[in-house]
Amino acid sequence: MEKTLENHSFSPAQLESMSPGAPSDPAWLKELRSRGLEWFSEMGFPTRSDEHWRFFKPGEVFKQEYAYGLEGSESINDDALAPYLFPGLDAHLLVFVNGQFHAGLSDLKAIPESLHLASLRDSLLEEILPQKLGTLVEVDEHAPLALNTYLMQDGLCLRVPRNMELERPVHVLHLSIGEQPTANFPRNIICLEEGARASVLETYASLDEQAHFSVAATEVYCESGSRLDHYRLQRENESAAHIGWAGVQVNRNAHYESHEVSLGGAKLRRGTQVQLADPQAFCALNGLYLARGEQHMDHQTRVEHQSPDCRTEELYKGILDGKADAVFGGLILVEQDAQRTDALQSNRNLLLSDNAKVTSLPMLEIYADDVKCSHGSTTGQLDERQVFFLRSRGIGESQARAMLTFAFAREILEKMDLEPVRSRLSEELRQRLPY
Amino acid sequence: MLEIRNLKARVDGKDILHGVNLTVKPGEVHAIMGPNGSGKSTLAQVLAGNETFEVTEGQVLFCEKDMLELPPEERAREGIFLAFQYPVEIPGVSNLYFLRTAINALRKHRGEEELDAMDFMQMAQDKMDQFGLDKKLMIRSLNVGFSGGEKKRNEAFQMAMLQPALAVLDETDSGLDIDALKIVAEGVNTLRSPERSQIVITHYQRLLDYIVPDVVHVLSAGRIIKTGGKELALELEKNGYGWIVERADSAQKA
Repeated sequence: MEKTLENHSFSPAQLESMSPGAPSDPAWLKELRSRGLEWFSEMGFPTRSDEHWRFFKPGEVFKQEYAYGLEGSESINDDALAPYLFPGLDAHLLVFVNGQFHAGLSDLKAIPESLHLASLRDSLLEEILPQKLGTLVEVDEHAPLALNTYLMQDGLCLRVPRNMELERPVHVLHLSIGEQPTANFPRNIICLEEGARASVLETYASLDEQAHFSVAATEVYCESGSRLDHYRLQRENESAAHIGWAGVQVNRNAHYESHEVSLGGAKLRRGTQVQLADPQAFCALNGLYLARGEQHMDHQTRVEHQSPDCRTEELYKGILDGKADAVFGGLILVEQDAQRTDALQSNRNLLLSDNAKVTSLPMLEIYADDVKCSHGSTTGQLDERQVFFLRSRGIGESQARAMLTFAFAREILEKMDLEPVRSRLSEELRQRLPY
Repeated sequence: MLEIRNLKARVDGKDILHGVNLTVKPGEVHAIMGPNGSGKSTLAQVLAGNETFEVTEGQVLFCEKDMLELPPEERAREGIFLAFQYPVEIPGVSNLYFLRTAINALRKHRGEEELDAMDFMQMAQDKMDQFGLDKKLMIRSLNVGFSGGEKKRNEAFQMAMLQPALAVLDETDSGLDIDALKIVAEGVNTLRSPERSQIVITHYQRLLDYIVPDVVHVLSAGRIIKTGGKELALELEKNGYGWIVERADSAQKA
């Protein structure tokens, strides 16, 4: 069990004293952590002079004090989880509270033999961890990821063996709760071996209104011919800060599909980095962010086409109300060898208020000469002709606006194969619409 | 039923209607004809409550209620229906979901129970067949991927479902082949009853062979310049609008 540190900031001296993990941890893990610390100490938190963080406004998030490793699980029962579960979805469930695995709330019954599904800390003897954990990116390019690498607590460890089709989806629920703001560092790893198939849901949520801070990282390996449907749901409270990152490697003929939905957080920054590493790899990145009030959401995606004949389909949509401030940055990088790349990137935003703001930066960087790439970005308001048409049939103005706003979001929801997730999120969206 | 008095309206600072007077009694079908740009569509949009058009003067009374005070949805609930000349496409809202929402808004207004999906489908199925609209098409997004003719048949289908007391058809015949025209006309005629009225706006006589009007008006430069029986439409078909417009112009100058 990790020790509790209250009122902790991220000053170098205090970072040292946080001493994450357990004395009995394997050497590779201790080494990985110390690399994380070293990198983070060199870089510090990103500032706006850092190109990739130019539009992210963290406010006081990095300067606050937080409790790290705070126990908060006594008061939690199944009812508290209910809003974040999906009625009708029969899933393996792993629950983490303030970064720590909670066996009582989890449901790990009937796990197929040869499948590895457990918390990361219960998986330290698994071969894949020393082989893969922390290998997907140059951590030194991403300060919060370096901090997570140093302070990582627990999370999902999933390995689906060759050609296994995982029948039930896996749902990982990361919760924050505390008498004071907590800082939590979830870390997940997903490996699909050749030809394996799985659906994984990652949910981040808070059980109170404290200004918690999560720095989360997920690593995904899709080996040849495998397919992962990855649902990434951000439903923390509107005081919370969240920096999340997913790194994905997609091998030959494998299929990775991300459904990222962001609803919560006062300050939210989510990054997705996909490497299409072998020929015929495919990724679909579907994103939907809903921001209102003074929510600030920054989504960054980067897809690297490293091999020929790979395909990307990316669509991120945002609905902004109040004084919300959203950022979308998307880069598709086509390397010299990646001939016959087929990539489509689109970002569309709907502004419901005159005070909401979007910064959209779609980008293509192409070094191959035989490619089909396109990108685009649109930002606008509801079409008043459509509003009038609905009203002229007797539908009230606010209902007409709600129908049209929902219709805008629906395109993303309809890409989700899991019906219970789709319908639960649809319902939640309808409730959140301002009309 | 409908009484329009000295209606003047403008859009983008340009006056379009210069004082329209029109009385439609229950059970009557009126045709409004006229050259392009005469204000026919503006009149239809103003009746439905499109706020893009600014009413500068006049009155619109429907069943003795002042319509100009009411937002579009309340006019619809009172029983006014506009079949659009250019029906809009709405991605993400299915035809049938939209129509059920509309019907239930009207039913709620009348104090009737809302229809559930089953009852609604029962009601819709026959009429979809009548207008030659396939269910596969109707569960898709509103008018998205519809041909011009399908959009117009969809308008007529919505009218048949909503059973308005006053239907205003704005150039519903444009873009229709003769078979589709007959289907739409039949839908309008089915609705005909001593309590319901229709205003058929058209550029051509052709539609009026199938929807026979009681009264024909000619709208030109924002005014009704001539009113007559159904034979007026035939005369217009034969001789064009020129002679009436000229006569009206010289009458105005004199």
